[in-house]
Amino acid sequence: MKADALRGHLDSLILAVVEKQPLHGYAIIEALSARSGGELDLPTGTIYPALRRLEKAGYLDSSWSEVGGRKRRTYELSSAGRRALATHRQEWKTFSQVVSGVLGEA
Amino acid sequence: MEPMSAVDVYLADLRAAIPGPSHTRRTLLREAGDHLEDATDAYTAAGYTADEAEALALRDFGSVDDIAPGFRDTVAIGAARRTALLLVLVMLPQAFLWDGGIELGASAHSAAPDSGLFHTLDIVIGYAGTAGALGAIIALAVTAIGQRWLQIGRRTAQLTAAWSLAIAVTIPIIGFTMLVLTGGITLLLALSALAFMVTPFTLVALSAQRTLAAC
Repeated sequence: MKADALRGHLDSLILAVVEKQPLHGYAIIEALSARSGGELDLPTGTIYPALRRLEKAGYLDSSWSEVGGRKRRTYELSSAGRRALATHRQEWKTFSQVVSGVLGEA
Repeated sequence: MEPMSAVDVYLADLRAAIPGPSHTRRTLLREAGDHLEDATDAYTAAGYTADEAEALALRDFGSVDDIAPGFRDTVAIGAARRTALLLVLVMLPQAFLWDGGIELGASAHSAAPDSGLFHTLDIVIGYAGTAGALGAIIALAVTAIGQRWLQIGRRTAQLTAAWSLAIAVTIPIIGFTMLVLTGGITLLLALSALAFMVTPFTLVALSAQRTLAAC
């Protein structure tokens, strides 16, 4: 799946992968890849502007912490991010049901 | 001297493609370096040679041409946010300092002259001050929490910087002209203008210039 197809959804995907635990950039990319079965095909460097944007929007909190003996900037979901993720999940569920219903089988 | 690795060369190219000195730029580049280090290690652990691992990590990360625009937007927006915050902090006390609780002009025994030019400037500075403060607050909101709803980039940063620069130049010029028109600039009045008007607005102007440089 190319980056163009992800437009508008990358932010929610990022929020989803840090929902359970704080992760640093590389781990977020790994989690996205694993949870998509390797289908997400986007330059991994594009994640960092998105992470910064989500942080400034108040959806993520970040801090520098030790990960495997190295200092890494880790990101975790804020309470506003949790609410935004829940909203997007609901919207996506409705949207996918509608589209599936229309496309359905010929 | 040890030759630069492919990752070092890439990071130097990326650094060169993102203008403007800033904390945001440094931390973004550091995160990019950390990412490439982790990715190279992962490929090395998977059995690739060091050169192959670096090449694969760089391929995954994306070319400088692909990645730099997003990084530039982030740096420029960060710089614009700082400029807007500075302008808000400088603008908010101005009315209080000059017309409100402290009344610096009156304290310095200056009197408002009964001239048309002075009154016109008084009205203009009032509108410019209000517009400057409102614009700064809007820019601050848009470049922070506003990113929840708005897709912003370098154009927003440029607009914020241009607005801040215009206000930072206009208000001190009008303010200083008004002080001259009072006909009795004292040392205290001059020092007050320097401390509370010229210096803070110069800082805003410098911040706006840094933002424009990052755009």
